Amino acid sequence: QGKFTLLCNTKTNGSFLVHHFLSFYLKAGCKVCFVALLQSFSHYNIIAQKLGVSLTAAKERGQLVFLEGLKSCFGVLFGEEQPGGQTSPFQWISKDGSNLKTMYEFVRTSLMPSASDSWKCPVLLVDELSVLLSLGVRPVDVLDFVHYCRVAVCSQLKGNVVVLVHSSDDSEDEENELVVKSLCHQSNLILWAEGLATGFCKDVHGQLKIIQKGSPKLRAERNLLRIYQYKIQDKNVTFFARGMSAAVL
Amino acid sequence: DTVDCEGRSLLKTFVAASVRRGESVHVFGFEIPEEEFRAGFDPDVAAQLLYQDGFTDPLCWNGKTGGFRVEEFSVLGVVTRLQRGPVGSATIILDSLSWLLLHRPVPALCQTLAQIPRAAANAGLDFCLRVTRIVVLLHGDLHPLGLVDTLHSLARAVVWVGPAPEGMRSKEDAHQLASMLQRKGSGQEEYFSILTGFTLKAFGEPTRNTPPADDICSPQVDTAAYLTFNLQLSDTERQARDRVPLPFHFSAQKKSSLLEASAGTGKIYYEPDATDDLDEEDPDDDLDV
Repeated sequence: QGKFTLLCNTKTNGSFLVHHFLSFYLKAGCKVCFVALLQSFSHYNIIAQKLGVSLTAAKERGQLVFLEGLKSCFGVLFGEEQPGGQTSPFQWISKDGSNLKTMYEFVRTSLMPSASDSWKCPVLLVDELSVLLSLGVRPVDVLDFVHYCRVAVCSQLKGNVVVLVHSSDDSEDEENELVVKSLCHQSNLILWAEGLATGFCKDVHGQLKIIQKGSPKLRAERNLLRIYQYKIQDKNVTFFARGMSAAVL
Repeated sequence: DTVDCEGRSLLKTFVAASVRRGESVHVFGFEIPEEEFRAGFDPDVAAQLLYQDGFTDPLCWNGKTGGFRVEEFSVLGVVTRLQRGPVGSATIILDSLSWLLLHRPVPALCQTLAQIPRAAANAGLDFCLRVTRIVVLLHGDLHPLGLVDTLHSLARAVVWVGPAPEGMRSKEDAHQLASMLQRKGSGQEEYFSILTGFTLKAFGEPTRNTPPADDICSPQVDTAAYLTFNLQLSDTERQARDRVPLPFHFSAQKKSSLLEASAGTGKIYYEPDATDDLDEEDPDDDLDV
């Protein structure tokens, strides 16, 4: 609890990790705020249903707060009024000089424990942060947003934050690299999904690097690194040691 | 530090050392919460820390008071905070400068850093604080090289932290490699590991005849042990090998055998086919060259 997990993908699609965490936390009875910038609600709902969770039901129960970026951006850009006259979490997209503060406040209020609900630790999921950069947000603003989310969710509410970013070593997108590296410094756990260096393979879809930062209480402050290869199947993902794919053996 | 090897634990050893020297330690923390920073220290050391909380609300989004805001990071703002502590000598810790660099203009930041000691000393009539050192943590991989170099020229000493090569790490647990760049003097490298309560244990300098780059490449397992053939030579085998004459070696015995062969009458018998037309002047005529 109180952990900040960074999901990274390089030359592959790491969204299977997001779907896993989403269904995992919902099954565990945590209150989840999901900031979905990449796909629509129905996309996530269909995949979650395959994994045995109904997002619609979770939303009705009040367990899941779903912020659909695709829809909300549209609403702000074309001047649709928010219900109740509130400012939209996506106010920044209209380029009126505001930062991501509105989005942070949305996250904070949606995860604030109220007296009526009895959900376990709050969780913030973001899919994915690199989209914000593409929408013209400055990297410092993105980092501020994540910083405040860490303050509110990890430090004050003792919950977890899971953030997906896109990264590639040889890209010349300096802004994105700055965000990724800063987040690497701040995170407790990094799951790094990489495509295989040798190219696409039918039976091995990529490899996952798990970097566990040493906790400050431990004597040996050392980053634990484990590497597995994985294959995404219909409903789950199989992990195996490198070179130990069933297709090879 | 870099992503590969964090330097915060080394920063904490500086904190612990300063507290043991009896100095007051002012920590300006922006990157991690206070509890996380205090974790791992001895209780009496942790009690001595004066933590300025720049983590909770640095940009005033929550509208809380009492925390340290990023605008406050000026000479005046810092000294006001320092005045809340006891007089005497003090160490200032910044965790981390990288965070500040993203939010403040670089020239202003450099000026602030340079002016803090003097401003603190002349702060008030009854208040005299001697800032013995300012220790900052900088994530070197986040900033352009030029900026990092600029900051190096400001500092009296620069410590780069990096992971130790594989070979060293297997011997003892938890190794880090620090390369020290004193401003007046040559750079030196040293292995260290951090023990409980943030005391430093040094392991001496890396030996020069085995450069670290080679250590990383060398495999950890002894591959020679699993071979089906023998790579090593025993002494008797070596002697036997030395006795074998090499084909290009020209000995008296070989010379005589060659001379004998030339003494015998060698002769080439050649019977031409019926279709051969032997041209005495150009014997290679049929060879299309």
